[in-house]
Amino acid sequence: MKLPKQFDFVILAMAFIFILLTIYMALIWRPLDTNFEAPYAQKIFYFHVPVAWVSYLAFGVVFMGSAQFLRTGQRHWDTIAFASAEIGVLFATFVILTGPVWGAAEWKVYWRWEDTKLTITFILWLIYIAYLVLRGGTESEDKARLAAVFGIIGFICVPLSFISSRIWYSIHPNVVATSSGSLSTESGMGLAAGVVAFTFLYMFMLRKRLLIFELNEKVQELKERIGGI
Amino acid sequence: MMPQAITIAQKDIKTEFRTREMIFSMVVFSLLIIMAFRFAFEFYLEESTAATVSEEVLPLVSPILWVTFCFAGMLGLLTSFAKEKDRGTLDGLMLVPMDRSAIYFGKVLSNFFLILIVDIASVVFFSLFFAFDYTGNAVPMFAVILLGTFGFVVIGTLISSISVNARGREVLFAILLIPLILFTILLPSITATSLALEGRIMDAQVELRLLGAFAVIYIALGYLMFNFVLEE
Amino acid sequence: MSMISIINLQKKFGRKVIINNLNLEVEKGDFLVLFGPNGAGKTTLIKILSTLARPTSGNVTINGYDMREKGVDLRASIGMISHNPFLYDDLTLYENLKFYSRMYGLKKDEKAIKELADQVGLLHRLNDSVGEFSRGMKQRAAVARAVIHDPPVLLLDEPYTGLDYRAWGMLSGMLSGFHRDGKTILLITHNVELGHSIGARLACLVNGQVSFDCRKMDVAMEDFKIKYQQEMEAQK
Repeated sequence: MKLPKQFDFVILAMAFIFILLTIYMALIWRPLDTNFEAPYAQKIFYFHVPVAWVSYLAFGVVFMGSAQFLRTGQRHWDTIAFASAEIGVLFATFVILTGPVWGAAEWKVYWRWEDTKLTITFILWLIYIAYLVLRGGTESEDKARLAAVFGIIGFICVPLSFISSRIWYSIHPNVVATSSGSLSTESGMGLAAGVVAFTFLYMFMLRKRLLIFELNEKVQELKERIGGI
Repeated sequence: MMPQAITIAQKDIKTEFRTREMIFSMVVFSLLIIMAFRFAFEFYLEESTAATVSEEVLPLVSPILWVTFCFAGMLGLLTSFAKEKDRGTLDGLMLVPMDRSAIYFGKVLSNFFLILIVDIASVVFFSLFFAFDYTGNAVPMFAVILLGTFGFVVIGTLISSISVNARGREVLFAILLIPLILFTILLPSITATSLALEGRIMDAQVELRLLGAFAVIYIALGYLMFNFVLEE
Repeated sequence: MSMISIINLQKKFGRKVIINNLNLEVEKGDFLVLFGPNGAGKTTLIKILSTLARPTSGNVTINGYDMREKGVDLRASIGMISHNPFLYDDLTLYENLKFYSRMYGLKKDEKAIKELADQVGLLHRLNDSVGEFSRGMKQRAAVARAVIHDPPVLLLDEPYTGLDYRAWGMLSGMLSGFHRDGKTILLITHNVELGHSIGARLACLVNGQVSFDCRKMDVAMEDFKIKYQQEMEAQK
């Protein structure tokens, strides 16, 4: 993807601006939401949720990249999938770490398996860590192909797991209302700002990661030309 | 394609019964797992205030059985492809003028048959170690085990074909397979089996439908993706 | 029309180019021996021809069947023998042949299988486990497996590896017989004497391309050896 350098700068700038905006909206603009037990901790919401959504986006990109790679055989699709998986796992880790922080403050419990969203994110996280383990870091064509197959299988299994746990948990009445009740428009705006912010951040990180791959390739090429290993 | 799949399955089963190495290891492994669980739950069983042995063991049956099925089963699933790949016979199968998905289906059939044997052995071992009586509920329980095991084998065969090509295949296989089956196969199976053991198999309709649906989806996935795994 | 037609074949592993714009035609009934040192891409080429691997670009047509579109028909037209016999050690020779006969959709009965085993001189070991066979016997059994469906084309990848002198003779005899029967044969080896004695057409595979193509009759063994050495030096 040959886009000018300025493009990257623009993305970074947008990410920066919107993150600042999100911070402002979350911490200063929005009043303390007294519906919640721990109003201060609730502010995490404005970061936790957008990052979760963007991680799902990242995994969706892994799925598409894998499918395109298998279909066309062009390596750059596999590279996109790999980079996206790395960022996705990173974001998902953030989600899994911040969740319990909020959970402990709000529900006095670090984790609730009954909450389908938690379990889905956790499964996703596991699946894409597995993807990364499989992909390794090697240049091997074969590894890339196998990982692509798994990338597709993994992504399909997530909605399946979701359906399954939804059904399972709805039968067994331990469910308590989950995080988002009805959203006020101001909250919605804060959330939207967060989503925009982290989407830009994801795009920036993805492009940088792809650039690193490219540079790596070039280094390898040069090494071979010189005659080293 | 089906005739060749069946031929492959027959070949696998014939070979296995001649050497008995795989099935023997799997059965012994399942025995050890159940034994480990027995000792692990020693304290729990001692402290239990339930009226009868059956009552106090009942909550343990389904989870322990399915964990055993999975781990002992994974051993067999991986070995099936590992042998073909390491001895080079997989190429021989790939040379046959047929839809190569027949290899996948053939393996699913033979794996299902062999793992079912291990499942039955595990059920027997459990009954011995935990002094548990399945009376009356054995048939519905087996129905669930059949369905759940089939789903497990269908996705497990595909994933094993992937992991056999990479380094550290045993661990990789577990890492790849378990997140996928946790909620799609394991959870519904365990629930349905528990309900079956309580005599309430009819309440498990949702779980059974889920298992059926996922088995179909996994077979479709296997059929579509297997060729990509094979080619070089 | 050629039996085997390779057009602009290329195979890359990552950045490494193993097969580099290969063009090769083999006429029906010809016996081509391809020489090359290790790493020249010989095994890769055979794998691609037998559809066990996919090329990066280019195309292969065998017996009129395109590799990408008519892969199944192509496989029905070839028999492959490599240093791996593709046989199940735990089954007997009879069971192995019966298995492949069913896989290839043939309905060979016991008599037909016995005949096949006899053709390769293994009738007396028909009910023995293949795992117990010597290397030479396994290779002969592999030949039986490869021709079970009477394919018009044979592909051989270093079939003489690990064989003793007597087994060489038997294998060469069988291959000459197939050649006389009109089969098209492509054999890959690094053994110059053997290849020269058995082939009708000789070529070298160097740096992923074909070089020095000639008919056996036109070049004496010693000259060919020298030429081969030269080609080897040329390999990076």
